[in-house]
Amino acid sequence: MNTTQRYDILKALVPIFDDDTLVICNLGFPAQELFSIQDSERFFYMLGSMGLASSIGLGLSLGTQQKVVVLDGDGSVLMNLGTLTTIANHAPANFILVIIDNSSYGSTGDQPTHTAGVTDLAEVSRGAGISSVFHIKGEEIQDTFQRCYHLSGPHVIVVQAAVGGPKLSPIPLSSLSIRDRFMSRVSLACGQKGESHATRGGAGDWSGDGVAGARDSGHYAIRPDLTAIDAKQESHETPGIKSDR
Amino acid sequence: METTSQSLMQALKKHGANFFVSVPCKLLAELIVLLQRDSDITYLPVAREEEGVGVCTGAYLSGRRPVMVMQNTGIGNSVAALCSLALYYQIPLLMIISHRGMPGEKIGAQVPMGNAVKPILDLIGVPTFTFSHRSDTQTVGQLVEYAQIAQRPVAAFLDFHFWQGR
Repeated sequence: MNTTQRYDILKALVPIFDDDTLVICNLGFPAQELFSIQDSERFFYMLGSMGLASSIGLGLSLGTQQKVVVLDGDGSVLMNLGTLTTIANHAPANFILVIIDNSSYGSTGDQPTHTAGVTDLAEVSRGAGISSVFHIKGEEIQDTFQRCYHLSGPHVIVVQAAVGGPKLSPIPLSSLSIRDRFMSRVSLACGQKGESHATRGGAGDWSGDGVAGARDSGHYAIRPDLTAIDAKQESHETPGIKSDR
Repeated sequence: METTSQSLMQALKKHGANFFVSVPCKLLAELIVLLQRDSDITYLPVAREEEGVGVCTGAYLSGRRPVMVMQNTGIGNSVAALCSLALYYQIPLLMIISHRGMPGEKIGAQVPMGNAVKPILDLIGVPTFTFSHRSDTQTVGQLVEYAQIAQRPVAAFLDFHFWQGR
């Protein structure tokens, strides 16, 4: 009988993360559980938009060389199955998707998902074209994740879990504080072309060495993008644009 | 002579756009070819526009300036993501949208969403701008920076006249 719950799996994963691992966490109970185990500025808690944790992680992983770990669920992935095909075709090596599969919609009352029936998300992942796919029991998570963490990805780990978890409270963080503190922990992918990100409001690697300009220690860049606007743009005039309102 | 799509691409990049996703429209075919060939930017096609809102959000979190290239019908499957992700986290995202279902349209099924899409965006608080002239490409490009100022998704509708003015 599988007794490993999602909370136990998250607890096993957190110590494996490095000081620069970026984590995208699915909404609802998973986010509350992660927050209660350990909070970090490098954890992006998705508060709405069910289904999109893997997509957010994919976009993020294409813009940084830091490891990106998505903590997702079966109900969530089933809502956005196309994500597996996009991951298969475009995800970079630093991307790991962990699908904690307890075959239920936990945050809405434990209604069963299709994986309680005949659907196998590991097979769907392989069919989508992802070559590194693991389908494991809860107690195997540490070994499997350690292995994936040190191998070039993208990886998908479907880990089975028992329904349920501890009773917790909503996360006491605003969406903007989650966004801003997270961005302060992301450093840009090397060799990136296009706009100079020195103008991104100093939201580079927060190594404590003193990022020029934007913040005092302990504070995070609010609206880091504002410093990206040149002086000549300050008039905010954009002639020629007629709003439809 | 530069095509409309080439001019548009150049304007978007000039204003800092460096991460693009797309779901195709017939009107966007040439722009998508340019995206596929451009080594200055990161580009990937997504399976659905809703997914694209998530991918663009992740790209923004990494410091990129994302643009989604899509047909207006895709707004229909993106509304929840626009509300509870892009708007809720104040993510600057420029949507370059080919506007179907307007006069000139040959496919009747495009008409309901063609008419509904701007009121939908008005309702949820996404600024919308319509462009009908090829010469508007530079102004469209400026919307990349406008989205940063607005701290929210912004929609640029490019109608049949825009694409026909070569």
